Amino acid sequence: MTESVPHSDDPSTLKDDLILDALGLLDESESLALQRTFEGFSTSEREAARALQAEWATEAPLPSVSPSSHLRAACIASAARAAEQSPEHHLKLTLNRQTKIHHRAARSASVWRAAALAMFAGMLAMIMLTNQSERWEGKQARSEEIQRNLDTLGVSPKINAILANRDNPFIQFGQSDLGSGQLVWNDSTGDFVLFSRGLPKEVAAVQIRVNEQVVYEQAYLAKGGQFQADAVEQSSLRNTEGQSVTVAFLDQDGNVVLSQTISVA
Amino acid sequence: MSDQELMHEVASGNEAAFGELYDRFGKLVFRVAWQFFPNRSESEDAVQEVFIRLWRTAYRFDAERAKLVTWVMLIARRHMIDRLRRKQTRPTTQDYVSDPMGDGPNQTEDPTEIRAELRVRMERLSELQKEVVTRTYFQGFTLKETAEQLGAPLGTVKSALSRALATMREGPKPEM
Repeated sequence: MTESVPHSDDPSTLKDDLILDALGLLDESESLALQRTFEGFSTSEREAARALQAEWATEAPLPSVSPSSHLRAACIASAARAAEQSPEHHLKLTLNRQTKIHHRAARSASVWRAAALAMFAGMLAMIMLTNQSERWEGKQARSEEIQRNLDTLGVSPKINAILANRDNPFIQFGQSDLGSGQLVWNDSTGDFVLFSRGLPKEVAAVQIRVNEQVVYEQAYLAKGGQFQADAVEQSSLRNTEGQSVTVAFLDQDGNVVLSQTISVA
Repeated sequence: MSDQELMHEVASGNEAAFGELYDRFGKLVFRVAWQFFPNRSESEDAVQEVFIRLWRTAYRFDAERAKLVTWVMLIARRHMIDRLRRKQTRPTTQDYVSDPMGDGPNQTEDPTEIRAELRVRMERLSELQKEVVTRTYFQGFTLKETAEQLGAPLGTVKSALSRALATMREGPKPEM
């Protein structure tokens, strides 16, 4: 067990507080006070505090029991059901999409996609609240600000319609440290929605290509890893059946940072 | 995969990542659940609820603030306490310290061995420590509530709890 817990006026009290906090035993006001103290720690002090708390979380006095072998599958299934029932903030989700484009046709996979979109929607609302907190002047102004930003981002009935149509093709992209998201489009009208989250800061532009021909290109600023959504109407991204479609994020030199290509069936 | 990467994947809807999350912490969460609801059916229900909560809040995880095991433990315990409060019944000190075959609010499947283990750990505690541990650690009362119930200063209760947990932790370590 580490002994390098950061010193304070009362180091033993601080250590006790860290342990009790790790086990969820501190009262809320004291937990918040501890959080403020933690934020003033040096890097090494923070690491020591994290290690101490992790040690106690791992070795807390608990009954020596083990779950049934079926519990793993039950947890995954429960989360999938919760995703199906999850209330979205601004988007209506269609579940169990037919995957004539995407090759992962399992129901659980489609439910997880819907769940991811549901979470994106929730995060969008949260991020809007966070970003605007310094300029609010009351509840009315706050909700108006949120609505303007949502409208700007195109989170609107048009997005609902694009996502709700189970026949619309989509590309799911993402790598663990390069962000993730989806491109969903109406193959008849060329309306599309592009979601992303966690894109690296060097991303400067997004390209959409059909058979390697650029049909859409726009400057794209990754918002510090935050969720973002863009909607475009009547683009050239239509009649893509039998074609290959690529979504690519480029840096300012035009180098591809992240891309994904599918063949539209 | 790092803690942050794993939770990023869980938040992104990666089912394999969610499975890994369970593989890492499923047993820990189950043990927390059993502590509050010592029967298999209720514990397993509680575990499922915790993992749904972990999935829903995965995007909030910040590895700078805490390691993932700490975050999982915190969410698990808070959920169990919320669940316990909804039930409006709490296990009593007697459930943990007295004869394991005695009456109690929780009918268990395997009471004898588990309670015996806890009983041994608690026998080394002072009476104040037993009361504090039972009310906060097992019954989910806050420190302030416990201090008021016992008519003791908050600092005394915190100190008693810390010493009690350290003493209980020194007992035989179960396998993770």
